[in-house]
Parts: sequence; C-alpha cells; structure tokens
Amino acid sequence: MKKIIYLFSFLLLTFSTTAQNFDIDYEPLQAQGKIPKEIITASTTKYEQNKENITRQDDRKIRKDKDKFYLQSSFVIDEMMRSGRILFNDELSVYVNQVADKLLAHDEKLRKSLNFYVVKSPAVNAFATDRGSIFINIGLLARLEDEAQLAYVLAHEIVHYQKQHNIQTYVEFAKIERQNSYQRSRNYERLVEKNNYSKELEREADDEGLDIFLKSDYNFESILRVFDILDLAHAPYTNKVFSPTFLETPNIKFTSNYLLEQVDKIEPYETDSDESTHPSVSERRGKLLDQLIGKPEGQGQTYLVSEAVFKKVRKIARFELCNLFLQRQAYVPAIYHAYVLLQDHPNNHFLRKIVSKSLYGLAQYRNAERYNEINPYSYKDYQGEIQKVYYLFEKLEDNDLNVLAGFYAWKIHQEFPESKGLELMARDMIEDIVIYQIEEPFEFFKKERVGKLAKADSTFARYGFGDLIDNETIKKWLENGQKYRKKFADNDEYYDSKEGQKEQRKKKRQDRTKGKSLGIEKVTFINPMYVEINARKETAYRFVESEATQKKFKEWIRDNGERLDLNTEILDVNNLSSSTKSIEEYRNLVIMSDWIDEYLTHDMFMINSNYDEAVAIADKQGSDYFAYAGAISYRNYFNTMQMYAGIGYYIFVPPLGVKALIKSSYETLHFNLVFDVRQNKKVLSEVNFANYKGKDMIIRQNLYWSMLQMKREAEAATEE
Amino acid sequence: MLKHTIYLIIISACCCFTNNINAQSAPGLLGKRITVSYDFNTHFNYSAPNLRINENESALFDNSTFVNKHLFGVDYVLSRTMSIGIDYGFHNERLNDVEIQDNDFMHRVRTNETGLRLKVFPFEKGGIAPIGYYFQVRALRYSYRSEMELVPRGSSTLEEPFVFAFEDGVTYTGAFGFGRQGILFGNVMYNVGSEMTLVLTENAFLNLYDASLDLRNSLIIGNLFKLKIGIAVPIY
Repeated sequence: MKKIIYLFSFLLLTFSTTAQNFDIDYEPLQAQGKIPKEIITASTTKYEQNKENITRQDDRKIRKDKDKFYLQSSFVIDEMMRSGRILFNDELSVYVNQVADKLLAHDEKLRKSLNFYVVKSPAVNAFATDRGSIFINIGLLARLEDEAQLAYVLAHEIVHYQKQHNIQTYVEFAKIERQNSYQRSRNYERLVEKNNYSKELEREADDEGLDIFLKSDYNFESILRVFDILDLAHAPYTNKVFSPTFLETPNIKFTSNYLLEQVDKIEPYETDSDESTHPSVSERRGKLLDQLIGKPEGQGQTYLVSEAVFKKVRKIARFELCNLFLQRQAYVPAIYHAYVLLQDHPNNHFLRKIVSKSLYGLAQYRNAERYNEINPYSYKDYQGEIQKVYYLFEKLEDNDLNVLAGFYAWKIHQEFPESKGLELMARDMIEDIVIYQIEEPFEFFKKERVGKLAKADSTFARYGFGDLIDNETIKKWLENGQKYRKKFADNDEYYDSKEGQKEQRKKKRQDRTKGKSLGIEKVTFINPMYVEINARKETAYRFVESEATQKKFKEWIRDNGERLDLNTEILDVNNLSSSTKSIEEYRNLVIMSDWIDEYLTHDMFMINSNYDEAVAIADKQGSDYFAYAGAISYRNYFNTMQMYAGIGYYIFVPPLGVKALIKSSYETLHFNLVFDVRQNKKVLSEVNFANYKGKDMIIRQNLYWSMLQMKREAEAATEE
Repeated sequence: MLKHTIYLIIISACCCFTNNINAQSAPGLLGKRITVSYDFNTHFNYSAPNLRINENESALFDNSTFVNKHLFGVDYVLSRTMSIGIDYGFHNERLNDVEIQDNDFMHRVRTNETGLRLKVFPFEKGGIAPIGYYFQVRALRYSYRSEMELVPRGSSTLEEPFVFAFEDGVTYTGAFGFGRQGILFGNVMYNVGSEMTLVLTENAFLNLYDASLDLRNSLIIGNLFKLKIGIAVPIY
C-alpha cells in the first residue's frame, strides 16, 4: 500500500505543472496527509514501550542508565517532532522515503522499521534516533549534488539506528562520569574520553553505512564529495558572485564605501581536535577513499528514483532555505540566497517578498539598536561572496538602510496590494524613517539630485524615494511618523520626570492589581505547556509528571472557559488524531507557533513575516486572539532565606524551625500571553511568580485570573 | 470617641476599596468570591494560672499552657489582591484562683469579639485573593466579662453556685496579622498565620488588685501574639 502511495506521489511530482512554478511563485513547505502516529502518541506510552528493551542481563547501574535514556529521549524527541519543524508526506519527505526504499531494497525488514522525515532547519545535518526515526535537514538537502549522495547519508544514519548508538553513547558517558566523578581536575580528560567514544561510533557508521550503500544499486562515484559538502557547511551552498546593483534603483546607488571588492576564499574550518565529537572530515574522506579503491567503477546508477525529481526537491530545499533564514532573523543570508535564486527566477513573487521583508527586518533591528543580535559577527568572519552582503549591510548608514527598506517595502506593497502584511510593513517602515532617523522628512527628501554628485555625498537617503515623495499615502505616513516622533519625545521627557515616573509606577501597580479588561469572546490557546522540575532528583525534569499535568492544564482551560462563558479552543498536537481532517489543524498550529516564536523573539513592535498566514487562520477561527499559556513548577532544596528563617524560628518555636530547615523550596511560574494577530500585538502579559508549590489549584487560579481579564468588558469611561 | 474614630476608619476604608465591587469582577477562587472560615487561634497562657480548686474543671474554661480562641468568619474577595470580611470569635479562660476574706473563688473570663477584617495579598508574593500570602488588619469590638465563683471551704456546701461579676468591659481596637492561605484538597482552603491584637481596657492599670492584674495579663499580654490555623470553604 505504501508503494502505491509513493508511486502515485512520484507521478504527481514528476508531471505536475501546478505544484511549484518557480518562475512565478513558491509556496513554503507544509506537512501533508495523515499525521504519523509517532507524533500524536503520548511520550509516556513510548517510554513504557521502550522500557521493555531493558533486560536483566545488564547490571543494575546500566539498567538505570538505560531507563533514564528512554525517559529523556522519548520526551525530547517528541518535543522536536511536535515543534512543527518536522515535515511529513510533503514532496521532500516522500522523495527521501523513496530513496530509502531503493537503498534498502535488499532488506525489507530493516526498511519497515524506519521512518524518514525532513526537518525545517538550515543546518547541514542529518540524525537518527534509536526508535527508527531518521531526520534530514533542509540545509543538507539543498547542498547535495545527486541522489547517490543522499542515499549514502541515509545509509550512515541507518547504522546509528541499527547499532543503537544513541543509547550506547548515553550509557558509556554515564559510566565515564561515574568512574571519574570525584576527580574534578580530570574534567578535560573525561571530555576527551567521551569524544573519542563518539568518534568511534561515527567511524562505525561510516564503515557499515558504506556496506549498506554498496549492497544497493547506487553508484558510489560521487559519495566522496559528501565530505566536501560537510567541510564547507559554514558557507552557502553556492558562491555565486553578488552584485549589489540588484538592490539599486535610479535614485539608490551604492557608492564605493559600501562595496567590498575582494572576498575571502571559501576554505574548510574543521580540523580534528579532542573537543570534536566527529573524526575530521579529511580522515573520513581518506578512509572512504581507501575502502573504495579497487572497487569496480561504472556500476550502479546515480539516480534510482529520478534525476528530475531530485533536482526539483533540491530546488524546493533552496527556496525553503530563504524562508527559514527569514524566520530566524538571519536576514543577510536570506537576502543572499534569494538573490542567487532570483538570477534564475527574476519574477518570483516569494523571493522578492523575502528580500523586502529581510530589508525591513534589518532596518527595524538597526533602529532598535539591536543589530548585533541578528548579526553578531563581522563580515570578516565569513567567507565567499556572502561577505559582500554582510559588508554592505554593516556599512550602510542608518538613514540609507531605512530608506532602502522603506522604498522596497513600498514597492512590494504596490505589487501585492492584497497583502495586508506587506502594507503594514511598508507603513511601519516609512513611519519609522521619521521616528528614528529623519525629523523633517519634507525638508530632507528631494526628488532628484541637483547638479553633480558631490564626492562626499556617499549616502543616497535624500534621493532614495525620488518621485514617490509626492505620493499621498507616503506623505500621510511620513506625517504620522512626525506625530509619533513628537509624541514619543514628549513621553520620554515626561516619563523621565519625577511626576512621570510616579505615574508609571502607579499605572504598573494598577495594571497588576486590577488587571485588564479585554472583552474577548473567543480565544485559541496554542500548545499549552506545563513543566515540572525537581532539582532534588537525579533526573530533574519530571517528564511523566509534566505530561500528566499538561493534560489537566488543558482541562482547566476548558473548565475556566465554561465558568466564564469564554469561548475557548485549544490547538495542541496532543489533541490531534491521524485522521486527514487533523492536518489542517496541525498546519494552523505550526503557523501560529511560528508567529508566536517570531513575535517573542522580536520583543518590539514589528510586523511578523507570516502576518498574512496568521490572519487567515484568525479568520477561519473566528477570532483574532491567540493565547500561549503555561506553568513551570520548580522544586529545590531549601534556599538561603529559608535557612535563616529556620534558624530564627528555631530559637523561638523549635518545631517551626525544624520544619523550615527541612522543607524544600518551591517556586511556580505561571504565564499567559494573549496576542491580537490582526493588530500584531500582545494584549495581555500575565507572568506570575510564586514561592510555593505549583499545586493544581494555584495554577488553575492563575489561569482563571488571566481568562477573566480576557472575558470581562472594559470599564465605562465615567466609572474610571 | 475611640469607637467613633474606628467606625470612621472602617467606613472610609470600605469606600476606598469597595469601588471595585460594581466595576470589575474579581477572580475569587475560580469565580467564587465568598468564603466561610473557621480559625483556631492559640497563644501561650501568660497567666500561668495557679489553680488550687478543681484543677480538672471542664475544658470549657481553658487553664492549660495554651489558651485557645475560636473565630468564625465570612470573607468577600474585592479584587485580585484584597478581600474584606466579618468575623466573630470567643474564648473562655480560667485565671488564678483568688482568696478573698478566707474564701476561695474561681476566677474566669469570657471574651468575645466581632470584627471587620481586610486581607491584602501582595502582588509581589504571587498570590491571587483568596490564595497566597497575606497581611491582615482587623477592627474589632472586644468585650470581656470576668466572674468569680465562690467555692465553699471544708464540708460546707451551697444550694446554688454563688457567682458574681468581677469586671467587664467593651473596647474597640485593632489587630494586625499575616499568614498564608492555600488549598488543602479540592476547594477546601487552609489558613495559617499569626496575629497581634492590642487590647486596652478602660480601667487599665488603675485597679491593682491581683485579680485585676491577672485579668489585665490575660487580656493584654495574651492577645499580643497568637498563632492561628484554620480552614475555609468558598461558597459562592
């Protein structure tokens, strides 16, 4: 049945003319079809199943280590699988599974025990778990040269699963720690010992991976270059020459101070060291070469599934990389990778939006004086043509960067007027030009340069907008910018004064005690979470207890919603089933999780890159409000204050003193953040910290308080 | 005068704090804002009664090392950080036996108090009324009545006990305390804390008879510091 599905998907991929037309647009990847049982099965269930693998043949300490491993890995892997970063049944995952079918055509039993997924990550990596899930990152797929290389990578990962390397590593590391636990000075030696062990397992995976590969019908001639790919993983998959003219317009010209003439050559970084968990690439390449010498060449094929499909999949991965960089605020790589693809697809809507959104992001972070957060390294730390891009944006004056971003935001908004997100970005950007940079825009901006370009005139901000300065909408936004600039300046002055600070404190106190009144009718909770940590235990993170209380947390949300007559919905992976209807909910969950992540990362007013997608979900849900709520319960040994109190108590009331001294310290953090996605802002931020145990009722109480604030209507002005 | 002053303070406090009642609703305990409670208060028996008569008299009158008071209350949650309530408490205590003109008397005191209380749950402590750490102020009407019962000596008996009132009085005063309310199980809350009450009787320090002094000690010193433990249930 699986084969029929794959064949159908393969035909669809090869002959479809409506799927991805890269000349026009690109749809970011989304999971498809049925949600794998592996994702929706409770972690506790998987842990219980895995525990059956522990035999009495091992000694007690090893059994205990294995138990801890199964506990931690079940939950940690599931956390990743439910994060929304895992793709399944999409074009890339289907293709990877087809390659795996060809690779393991000789071993059906092994094939049946494995599941392959693609991960939405730009890192050049693949990894395996001991329960048979193998993951390959988009960052790696974008770089591979052919199908045979993909097969070789999969073969390597399959060995990690076959040999159960993860659990072996865990048990061995625990043994190393136990042997040297009292000898602090031997920390480094312990690290080296662990890394040497890891390297041995990697060598085993290389050797036996090659065996699996050679049993297949794949041709081995290109697989040596897999190590070249790994060697240069720090650089982009291409070194296409970057010409900043693609950003220039008749009024925006980069002068020489913005342009880097010479770039550093792309060279490998990696050398084998004691601190590395993998053998050096040169050692691995050399060993593989030795193993291949003497083998007859020209046998097998480079493509067993399809060359056309491989190239399409790789292209999709390259497009997707742009999106991944944008989501991670890696705006410079996003621009460079979009630029590279634009050379072949100059009219692609998606790519042009990526450039505009990235420019917007760069300007926003520059205005907030947080540029170093998104670009912590200098252009000198990079290699290849991408250095020019880093250099350009590092050197661009604030005015110029703002005008460049503003111009492109406006241009893209004009091209795609149906996109509210792009309109808001354009408006925000143009207003910010005045708020942060140019106080008197109507005096500053000129339509065109007058006379010859002066030598010292190295910036283009004054002329960047050209005729657009006469546009009524832009004028209105610039005027708004002036109003806000004045208002912010007045506010700054007021709130710097004693009176202002007093008012701020009063308002803060009032907000805390009275709370807000939002008048919300419906709210959707995204992935409510509950975490229990007990630092007194060896495994501090209480996985099983956390999962159990998380279920209760969701019931409390529903219960409170009923009490308050607040319409609540919960989007949570654990609520989904493997029916096909669930996939839309899953996709909505992924989009909203990404939206929340991005919002919290920005931590300032900035239109999210997936604004339009999030608003579309709000329309479907019938509410603009989404909440992210949870609690963290932490238990430790008693704290210092408690110890002093205990001693004090002991003098007067011994029983209380003893109790204070032996009682452990509890802390509970409860949070509830509510967002209005249409306004792109956070409307409620409840973060309560209490020095007592996260007992059920206390968490419910905090949750109730947050939800009450959502439900109740604002006071009438007269009552205030 | 003192009585009127205290009434004025209570009314002003109500006006300041109860503007919330009609405006925004407070969370309470999952929406329930009225709780009924019982608190068991205890303090060390500073009187250390030296009992010569009927040492094992009924426990209705405390004569042990700790003196216990029972307090019943009803509280209403005003806002996230505050609740207001009324309470009623009583205690009975046996003081030192007294010898007057070769007659032995058992000296007892009964008190009751009616109070209005305000509990504040500081935001910084992370609680939400009625759960969490709190401090409390109470305005109370404190009344006491001490009596003496003649105990015949030797073999003589009385047809009926001869009891006379020794001292009685009413005072208006305040109390300050702090504690913590939490959940015991289900919806039942526990309350632990302590309280200090300043009781000033009208004839304080004027009457220097030993019995009076005893009474003063019981009322003034005894109320200075009490520990309490109680339970409360939200009802509406």
